[in-house]
Amino acid sequence: MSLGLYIHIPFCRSRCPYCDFAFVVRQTHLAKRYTNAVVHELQTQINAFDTNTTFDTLYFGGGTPSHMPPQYIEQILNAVQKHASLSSNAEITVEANPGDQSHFSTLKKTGVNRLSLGIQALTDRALKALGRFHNTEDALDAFKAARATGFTNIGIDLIFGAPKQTQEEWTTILKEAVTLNAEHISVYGLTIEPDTNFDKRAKKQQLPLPTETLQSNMFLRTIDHLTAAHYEHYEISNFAQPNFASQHNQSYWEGKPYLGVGLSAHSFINNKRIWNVNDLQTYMQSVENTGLAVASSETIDANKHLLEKIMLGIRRKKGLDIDFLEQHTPTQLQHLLNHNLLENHQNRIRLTRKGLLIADAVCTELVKDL
Amino acid sequence: MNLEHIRNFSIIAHIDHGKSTLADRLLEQTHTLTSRQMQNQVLDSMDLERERGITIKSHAIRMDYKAPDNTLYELNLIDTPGHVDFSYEVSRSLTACEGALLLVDAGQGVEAQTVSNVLLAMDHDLAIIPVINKIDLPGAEVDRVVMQLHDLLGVEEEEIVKISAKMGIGIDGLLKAVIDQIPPPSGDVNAPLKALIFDSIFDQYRGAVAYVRVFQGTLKTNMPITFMSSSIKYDAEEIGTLKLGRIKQKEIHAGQVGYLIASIKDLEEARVGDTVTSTLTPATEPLSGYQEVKPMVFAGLYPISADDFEDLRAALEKLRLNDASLRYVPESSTALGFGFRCGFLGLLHMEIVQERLAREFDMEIITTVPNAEYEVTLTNGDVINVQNPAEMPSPANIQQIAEPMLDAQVLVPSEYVGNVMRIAQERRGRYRTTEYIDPTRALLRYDMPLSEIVLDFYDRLKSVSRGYASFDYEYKAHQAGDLVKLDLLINGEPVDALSAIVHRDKSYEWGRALCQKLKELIPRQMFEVIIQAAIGAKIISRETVRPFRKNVTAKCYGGDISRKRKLLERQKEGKKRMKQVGSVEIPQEAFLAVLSMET
Repeated sequence: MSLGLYIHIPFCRSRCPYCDFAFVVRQTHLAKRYTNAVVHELQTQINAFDTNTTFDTLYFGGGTPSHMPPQYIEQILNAVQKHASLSSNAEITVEANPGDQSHFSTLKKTGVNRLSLGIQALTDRALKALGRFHNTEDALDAFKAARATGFTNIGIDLIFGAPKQTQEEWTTILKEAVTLNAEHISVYGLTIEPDTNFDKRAKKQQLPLPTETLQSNMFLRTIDHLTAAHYEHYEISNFAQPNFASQHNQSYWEGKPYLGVGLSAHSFINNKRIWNVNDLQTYMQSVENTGLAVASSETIDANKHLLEKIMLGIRRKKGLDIDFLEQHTPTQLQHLLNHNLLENHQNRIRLTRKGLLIADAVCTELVKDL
Repeated sequence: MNLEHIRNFSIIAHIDHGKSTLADRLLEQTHTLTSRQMQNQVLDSMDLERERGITIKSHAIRMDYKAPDNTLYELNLIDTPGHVDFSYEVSRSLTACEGALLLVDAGQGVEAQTVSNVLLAMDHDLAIIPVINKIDLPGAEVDRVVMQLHDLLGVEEEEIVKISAKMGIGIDGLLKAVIDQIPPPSGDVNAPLKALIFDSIFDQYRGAVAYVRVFQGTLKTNMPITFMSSSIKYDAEEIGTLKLGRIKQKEIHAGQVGYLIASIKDLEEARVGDTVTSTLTPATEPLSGYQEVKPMVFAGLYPISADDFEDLRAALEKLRLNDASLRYVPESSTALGFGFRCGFLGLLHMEIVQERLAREFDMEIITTVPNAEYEVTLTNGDVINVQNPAEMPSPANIQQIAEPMLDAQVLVPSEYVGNVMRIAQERRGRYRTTEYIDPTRALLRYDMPLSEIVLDFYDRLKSVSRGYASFDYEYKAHQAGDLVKLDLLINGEPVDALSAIVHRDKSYEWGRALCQKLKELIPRQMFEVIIQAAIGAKIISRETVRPFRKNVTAKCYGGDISRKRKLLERQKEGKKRMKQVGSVEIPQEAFLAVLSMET
């Protein structure tokens, strides 16, 4: 069986006010115990499969994996190779933050071949507005260090729509980002997730976000600027130079199976989605006692599978097969084509420029009758 | 039974003044039911009736009462519906009686409905026995109520019976008053048969069962009979008297009350108010007072899911089996699809139907805003009845629109008179008189358009009087008014279910308020939604629901998929419950927006 492997590393240097992922700050003293738990869980999970397991992609996400001493990444990679195999050209990504440059060379040596840098913005004002701990210079230094270390596949993450952001500032950030010549750029519209610090501020009317119109213009500017710089807009929030699209993330969107290990990680195997607990102590204790730390699971039946296929597929430039959509939702398809929210490109249905801006509403409309 | 030993009476009371409890006590005291049969409030047999503390259908029950002097009396208690919506049924029930107990709560005093029922009873020349109930309660103000009854009926204190139905206090005295003060029925048992149908129920095995009061002649088993209004002929298969169940008898004669089973197909044939006569020796004239039941309030009932249309039809058919006053015809709406235009006796009747559809038939329905029936004179002189505002002809073809006017009475503590007058005026009420039934309570009379009552007038009245005002009305006549049809357009398309007939003076305010309310209720969508109110081709108000400018999930990776899909499922289900007008999705609440708008 071949699948993708996701490993969650929850440690962070500081709390970002918009983040709702599973993370802990000032807990790296637990890294050793946590790593042992991850290795233990990984072993239990792989042993449960009937067949030999090969991972095509491996992704360390977080939290901030680069914040953890890199020998622990190495320990996990060794365990992967011991209990399963990694395909020869496997994409191995680690998410990294500016400031963790000292760990890059070790990561490179242990076999990591892709870095995903959490740059987020490239003006000091925007970084401050986003509550990031680093400044523009730190971000640029981190990128240069990654290149100098020999990484030839570097992705950067950017966020638009920071409090008080203007179109001018965002354009500055885009221009600066393009000069880095990163292989991959993920651009996320700032999303106010429930119970985050930003959410609390927003509820108190203390978060001056750009208007929805301005945010949509920033998104359009992003698309124009990055495609002009020869990045392919291959998914709503993702841009890549030719052949540098994230293989790991594409496997999610293609409905391929994946194993998730670590705090709050999700797996999708044999039409079941299973997710782990999201409290660090509970996770470690559970794995230490039982080898697993599953919180819950759901079976992805035919209808759920169909919804997920459309929900994920429509976000991609590749789109969805026209025959498939005509079979399942012909009326809604026609309706959205007529309104120029979807388009037919060589018998693949994808979002138009107009549709991209309101992709969620278009998707709900598309699946309305399912 | 000797006519001298029969008494036919009803109890008239405002809701919650203890009518059902008193009925129970009478049944107990006359040993009509064994205590094992006693179930609280036996007469209210529908769950809904018991919950709401009101009687929707009339019932009748015979009590055999041995008076202290050992004379055996036949007492027929004919229960009446306790709500203004059913005033015709009340009037038929009263016709079947020679007397009425006017039951007034010692704490609440006389209410608007009590007054109108007293007037009705007086119209029927009934002997009225005033009864004050709940005299044992701490809040009882017996002296005040005595004074009210004195003012209302001109009775002296000693003529008033004071009881506590709950505690069984004063019931013997009340039975004595029934014997002494209510006259026995009269009527020649040998004359041609005349029996009044004062109620009917549907029995799934026997068809419609008519409850009758015989006025002259004798109704005998197997007798060929004719219903005089419809001229339909039957054989009286089974007749009898009513206790908790039906007790077969060979015959019932003039002065008596009982039931009749005659393979009557449905309630439509056993019309309340109709006269039953003998086919062989028929009466020449029917009893007077028969009227076709006329619905007053109309609304569209639509299934939420279009697939449920046939189920809704089946449910309405079944409901009509025991509610002959319900009217429905299929209609279609561009906004709501296929449904039924239903006619109701009043708002309570409408609520009851809605609730029974939900409870007994598990139907999920949207009800449009209720409206009155308009009499429209066209320019060519034709007169048509319009029961659905959407069907109002174009203004160019209309000479005049007449709307139903009511004789409305509001009984209210004097401190709230100002508030009541204010809202009555807002609702186009024309003031007629004020009477004080006691120093603290005023009876205000207004001529009011029904269309102003159907829109939450009752709730408003209760809220401006802290719940103390009571309200009653009677249809008077249709009256021409400066009425216009107000259309509501969404992205230029008229939404028929939101059309309304309003007075011209209020049309601008109405249009603005409706547009604003809809703007609140219609969620943002992919496209701009323009909401307009129009009279004819003239737009009088406009609001816009701005479209989504950006509505896109940023991150959608392995750990996000289940959560995002569940959100998608919820949104998709939400969409299914909305109604589509063009490409705009309108939530169900929008169709009742009128009821919650602020004007």
